[in-house]
Amino acid sequence: MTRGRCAVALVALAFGTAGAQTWHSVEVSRPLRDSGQLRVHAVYAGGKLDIRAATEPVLFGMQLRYSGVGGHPVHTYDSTNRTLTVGVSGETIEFAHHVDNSAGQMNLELSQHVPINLDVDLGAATADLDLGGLRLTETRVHSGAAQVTLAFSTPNVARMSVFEIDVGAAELDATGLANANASSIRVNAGVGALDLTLDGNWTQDVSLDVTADLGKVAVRVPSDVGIQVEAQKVVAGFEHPDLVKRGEYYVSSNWDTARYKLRVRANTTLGDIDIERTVH
Amino acid sequence: MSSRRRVATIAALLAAAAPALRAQDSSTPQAAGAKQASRTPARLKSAIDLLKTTEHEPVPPASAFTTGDRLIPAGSTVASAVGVWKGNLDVAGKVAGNAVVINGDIRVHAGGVITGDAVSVGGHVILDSGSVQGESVSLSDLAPSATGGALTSAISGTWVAGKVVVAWFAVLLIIGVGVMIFADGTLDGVVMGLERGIARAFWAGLLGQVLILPVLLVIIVGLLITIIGLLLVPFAIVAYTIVVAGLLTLGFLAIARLSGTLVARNDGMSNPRSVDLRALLFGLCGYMALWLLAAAFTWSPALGTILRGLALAVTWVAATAGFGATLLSRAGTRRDRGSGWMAAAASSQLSWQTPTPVAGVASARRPATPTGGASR
Repeated sequence: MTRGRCAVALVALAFGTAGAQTWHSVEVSRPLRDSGQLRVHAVYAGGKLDIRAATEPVLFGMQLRYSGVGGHPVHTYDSTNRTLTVGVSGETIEFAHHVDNSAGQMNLELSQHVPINLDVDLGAATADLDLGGLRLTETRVHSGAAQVTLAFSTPNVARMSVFEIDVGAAELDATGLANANASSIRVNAGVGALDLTLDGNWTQDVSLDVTADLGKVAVRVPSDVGIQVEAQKVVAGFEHPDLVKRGEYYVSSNWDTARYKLRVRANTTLGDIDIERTVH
Repeated sequence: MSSRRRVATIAALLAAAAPALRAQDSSTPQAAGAKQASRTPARLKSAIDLLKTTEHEPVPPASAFTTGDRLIPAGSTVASAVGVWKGNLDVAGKVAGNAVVINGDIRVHAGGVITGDAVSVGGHVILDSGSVQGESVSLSDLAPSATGGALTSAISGTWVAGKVVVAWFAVLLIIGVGVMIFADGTLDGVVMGLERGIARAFWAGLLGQVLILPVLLVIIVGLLITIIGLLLVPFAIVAYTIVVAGLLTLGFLAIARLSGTLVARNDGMSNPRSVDLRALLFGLCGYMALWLLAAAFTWSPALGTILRGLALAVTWVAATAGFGATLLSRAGTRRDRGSGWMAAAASSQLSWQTPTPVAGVASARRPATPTGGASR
C-alpha cells in the first residue's frame, strides 16, 4: 500500500515537474584580443533570437534565457580553429514542436572588428538579425518555420563572398541588402512570404537568385539601379510594371545606362513575383 | 598617476576588498582547503562534476575550492585555478588560470586579471575595471543540461508524447462520432467491406497507397493539358489531399469499429447504434493504447523506439486494410456484406430467418443443426 502511494506520488511529481517550466540564463562573453577570422555557428530551435554588432570590445557576447524543455544550451569556443558555437540545440531543429516566443530569448553580439563567417540555424523561431556594421565574409541563414527580419542597417565592412538564405515555411523581411556588400545573394524558400529590399549603399552589381515553391516574393529595388529579370514560373504571377521584355529577359528602361545592375533569377512553382521600384 | 588619485584608488580598492578580507582572515585558502578536505560537501563535488559537463575549460578539483568570500589581493599572484564555493571572489591581483565560483559573484577590480576563464554559477562576473582574458561566463544555475537535465528532458518528452496521443484519440473520437451521426451508412459500408475479407482489403489498401502519388500526377498532368485546368491545379492538389485523408480516416474508423466489436458485442438488448458507438470507442482505445504505451516509454530511447515501431506497424496494417475496404466499398456506398468470416458470423445469427416475400409465406423453420451421425 505504502509502495503504491509512493509510486503515485512519484508519478504525480514527475508530471507536475513536466508541466511546469523553469527558466535559466547564461551570459557569456570573450574579450577581443586580435582580428583573426571568426567562424560563428548560432543554433536556435525556438524562441526569439537577436543578432547584432557589439558595442563593447568583445569578440562575442551572448545572453540566453531558456527553459531547457526540448533543448539545451550550447556554448563552445574552439580557439584553435576560432570557431564559436552558441545557442540552444533542440531534439530537432527543423521541426521544433514547441515555441514560446514570449519567453525564450537569445541575444548574440558579434565584434565589428573581426571578419566573421556566420551560420545561423533556426527552428521555429522569431529572429531579428541586424547584421549592419559587422565584417561578414560569409552568411548563411537556415530556418524551419521562422519569422525572420534581416537587416543591414549600415554597410558590411568586408566583402561577402557567400550570402545564402534558406527558409522552409517562413516570413522573411530583408532590408538594406545592398549594404551586405555581396555580389551574389541566394534565397531559397519553401512556403511563405519573402520581402527583399535592396536598398542601401550600392558598390557593385548584384545577382539575386530566388527560389520559392509557394508564396509571394517581393523584390524592391531603387529606381536608379538597372534590373534584369529571368523568371521561371510554373503557376505564378509576375508583376513587373517598369520592365520590358528583351529576348528571354525582362529589363528595366535604364538597364543599359544604369551604374549598378541587379540580375534577378526567380524560380517559383506557385506564387507571385513582384518587382517594385523604390525612390533612391 | 597623481598621488591623490592613487590614494583614492587604493582606498576604493580596500573598501571594496574589506568584506572579503575579513572573510579571508577567518578562512585562508590553505585553511579552507584543509577544512574542505575533511568534509568537502557532496553538493560541491556534484556541482563540480556537473560544471565539467557544461564548461569545456578545466574546472578546479574540489580540493582547490574554498568556502566563503575570497580575495586575491593586489600585487599577489595565484599560479593555479581558483575555486570558491558559496561566496564571492574579489580579484585585485592576478589569477593565472581559471576562476570558478559556485553560488557567488566574481568581481575583477582595477589591476586585477584572470588569465583564464571566469565562471560564476548562481551569480555574475563583474568587471570593475579589471580584465578577464578568457571567457566570462555567468550561469543562473547548472540546470537543465547538467542538474537533472536529462531527467527533466525525459519526463517532459514523455509528458508531451502522452499529450499528443490523447489529443489524437480525442480528434479521432470526435470525427468518429461525427461520422456515426451524419454518415453512419457510409461507415457501415466500409465495415461491411472489411467483413468481406480483411486480407483482400489490406492488399487493396496497399495498392491504393502505392497509387496515391501516381494518381495525383495523372490528375495534374491531365489538368495541365488545358489552360483552364492549369488554374485548377492548386485546388486539385488540395482537394485530392483532403479526399485521400478522408478515405484513410474513414477506413481507420471502420477497422477500429470492427476491432471494437470483439469487445462490444450486441447483447440483443442494446440499441445497435450504441453498440456501434461502444465498438468504435473500444477499437480506438485499443489502437491508441499501443501508442500510449509507446509514449509512456519515451524516456527510454531503445524501448520507446521498439514500442513506437510496433504501434506504427499495427496502425499501418489496420489503416491500410481500412483504406482498402474504403476503396473496395467505393467509400462505403457499396453495402453488401459478402461472405467473409465476420459476415458469416453475423449472418449465422439470422440464417434461420427466411426473408418474407411481399406475396407472403406462411412460416419459416429454423434448420436443425446436425449433431453426431444423426444427419440424413
